[in-house]
Amino acid sequence: MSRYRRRGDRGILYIAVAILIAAALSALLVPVFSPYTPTEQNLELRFAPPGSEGHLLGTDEFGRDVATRLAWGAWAAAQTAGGGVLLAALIGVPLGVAAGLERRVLDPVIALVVDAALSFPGVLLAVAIIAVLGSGAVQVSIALGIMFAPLFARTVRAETLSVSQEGYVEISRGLGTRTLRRICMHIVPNVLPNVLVIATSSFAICITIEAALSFLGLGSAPPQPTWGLMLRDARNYLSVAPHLAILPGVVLGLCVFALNTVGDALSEYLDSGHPDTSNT
Amino acid sequence: MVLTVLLVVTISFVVVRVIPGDPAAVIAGIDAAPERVERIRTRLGTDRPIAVQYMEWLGGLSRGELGTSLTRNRPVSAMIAERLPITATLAGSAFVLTLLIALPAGLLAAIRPHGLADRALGAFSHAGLAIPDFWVGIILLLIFSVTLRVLPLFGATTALHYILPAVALAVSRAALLARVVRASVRAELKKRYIEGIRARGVYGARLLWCHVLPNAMLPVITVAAVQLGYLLGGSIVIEQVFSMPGLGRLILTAVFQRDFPVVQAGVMFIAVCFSLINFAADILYTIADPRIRSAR
Repeated sequence: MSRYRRRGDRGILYIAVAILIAAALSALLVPVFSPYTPTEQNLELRFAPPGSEGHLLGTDEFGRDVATRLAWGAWAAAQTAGGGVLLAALIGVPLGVAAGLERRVLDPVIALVVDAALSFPGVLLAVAIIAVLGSGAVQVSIALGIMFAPLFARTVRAETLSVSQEGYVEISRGLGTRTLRRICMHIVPNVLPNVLVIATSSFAICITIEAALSFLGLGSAPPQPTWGLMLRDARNYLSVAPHLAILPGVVLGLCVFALNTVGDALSEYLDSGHPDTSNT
Repeated sequence: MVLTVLLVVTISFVVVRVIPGDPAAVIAGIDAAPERVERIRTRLGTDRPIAVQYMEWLGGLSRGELGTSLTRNRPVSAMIAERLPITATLAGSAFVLTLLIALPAGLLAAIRPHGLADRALGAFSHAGLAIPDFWVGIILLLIFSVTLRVLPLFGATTALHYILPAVALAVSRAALLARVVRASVRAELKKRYIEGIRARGVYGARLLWCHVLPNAMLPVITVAAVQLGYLLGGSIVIEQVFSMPGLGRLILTAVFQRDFPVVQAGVMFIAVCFSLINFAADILYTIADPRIRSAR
């Protein structure tokens, strides 16, 4: 596992970090400094190709500025996916710690629920949840949270199990430290690095799923600028304005690639730094 | 196994029925008369206790009944049977394509680590993992149906209609599976017994086919089964891209029309298929690996 020690891979990591910084900057700055709003229509300038005067990346079927919409889309994606990951961690981490510590009753029950939740492939569970909650960005976050909580629970459980068998934790238990204090002092600090790695990689997947769900029409409603909705609209204008279909996908792909790369590097770094915690 | 299927069935029920919110009120609309809501509630059966509904749902399942669609007034099982061939064909051809890409690519990459094929696979899998399959689908449509006009645009009437969606689904799955094949073959090649076989003068293709592959295929089977299941679930989005009237489209339309029995049954159907595929993979695993068989 010495992939990032080679120079070429380090280069890829730098590129990935640069992409993330660029995405974050444009998500923060474009909404403030762009002369356009994401929903401002200009029906005289529909389907302007990229490089048109005043519209760096062209305009869409309502003459809205694509660059501005992409930047707002980054913001929307980060919010929805971030909310999902946060919820998943809030549900999954306590469940994982509980399952790792209480092995007789809680562990099998939680394992069963985790297994069952993981047997809904792909976006299926999210679609079912949104069917009941109704469509919208918040609902997508909730669905993502429920979808990814098992992943957090599973990893945290394994980690808790191995940490709680470490000598110093055993000793602390023998000395009569209360369970809650033991969790806060010993378990959580050891589990956190791995949670961070999972959070990064799930954040990338959540962004893709968020795009897929809003592409299906289950996310934010138009005219909200999200990447999925932009692709949904672009599908009707493939022959007139191919840039509308290409650009959101390229931006999405670059962000996911960057997050994956940073996530890989992070887990590599943690693995090399703490050899004991690598056996998940 | 039985327990997993039962849990999957239960979760499909719980998600659709127990999450707060009254399906009847949603179907009737915001300003519907209370009597109308009551009528729909009776028709849905949601006026009875949850436990009774659950037992009825299980009882129906055991007789192969999945409920009745609210909007079409037809048995859901018939609707699923009608749409299943399209989704099954799509998932099946995408799966074959995935194997056709992943096995040779992973093998080539593993033989020469850091060689040309390995680096190409590295780039391919990075890209395949980052790019969502529905966007691949849109770009394929743009290239082959809109610009070159060699393949049909939307629908599922001829075999040609399946090519682009199958490729779109296969690319990202193959990226992942090829990584697994590569890692597994690499790990196998590093083992001591390979040295012994080499010392006996067995090299190249013969070594790979007769000794490395059979052992390296074990983890691949497990991952491939998961991928097949994901192809079934992932077809929801791809069917939408290509306007194919498959199972995914049935579920999605039902979501928009608030046709809860169809959503519940459709989601459960795919999840149960997924569990069964994984179960079949476990059996295949024991057949492929004599060590597990004798250990039982």
